[in-house]
Amino acid sequence: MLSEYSEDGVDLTLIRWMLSLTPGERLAVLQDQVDSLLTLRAKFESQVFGNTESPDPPSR
Amino acid sequence: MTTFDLDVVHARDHANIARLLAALEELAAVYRAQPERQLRPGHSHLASPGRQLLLTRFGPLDVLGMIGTSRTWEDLRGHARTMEIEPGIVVTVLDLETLIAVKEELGFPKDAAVLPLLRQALKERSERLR
Repeated sequence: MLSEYSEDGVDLTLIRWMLSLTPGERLAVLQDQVDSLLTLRAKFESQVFGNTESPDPPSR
Repeated sequence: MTTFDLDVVHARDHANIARLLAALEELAAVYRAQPERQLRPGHSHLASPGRQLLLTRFGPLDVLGMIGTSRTWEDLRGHARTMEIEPGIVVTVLDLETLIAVKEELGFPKDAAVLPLLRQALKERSERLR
């Protein structure tokens, strides 16, 4: 059974999962993450700071 | 390499575990250590304080019985804020102060590396809220 964490606390299952994807799939995953974070950040700012500006449009 | 997953700390009472299992079933969640085996978490896994490292059809998901040294959902609920991420969908998110405390508790190099960034984010946010 392979270890799930390195001695530094790094989740090795995430790295192995990412390495199992093709380069194109990895980019798609990362783009989804960026889009989600931008949306969440905009919603958080509007709720906490009252900023009503629309989030930046997704980059694709 | 950049990796990203979603961490959820859940209440471990019987009724909530049943709801969580139904959600994980809908998400087709399997253990990501050996995704080819299609192993699914069960009630006893979610009742434990351990970490369930899963892969769903929407990406990686960690379902955590506790975080830090011993912080459970009951311990954390008073240190969280709610956010409406979509109309009608409200999630409870750990506050930044507690996230920093948890990472300080763990003390792993991976967690220590992000602490300066988190502390600065907390400082900047506090200044904006003044």
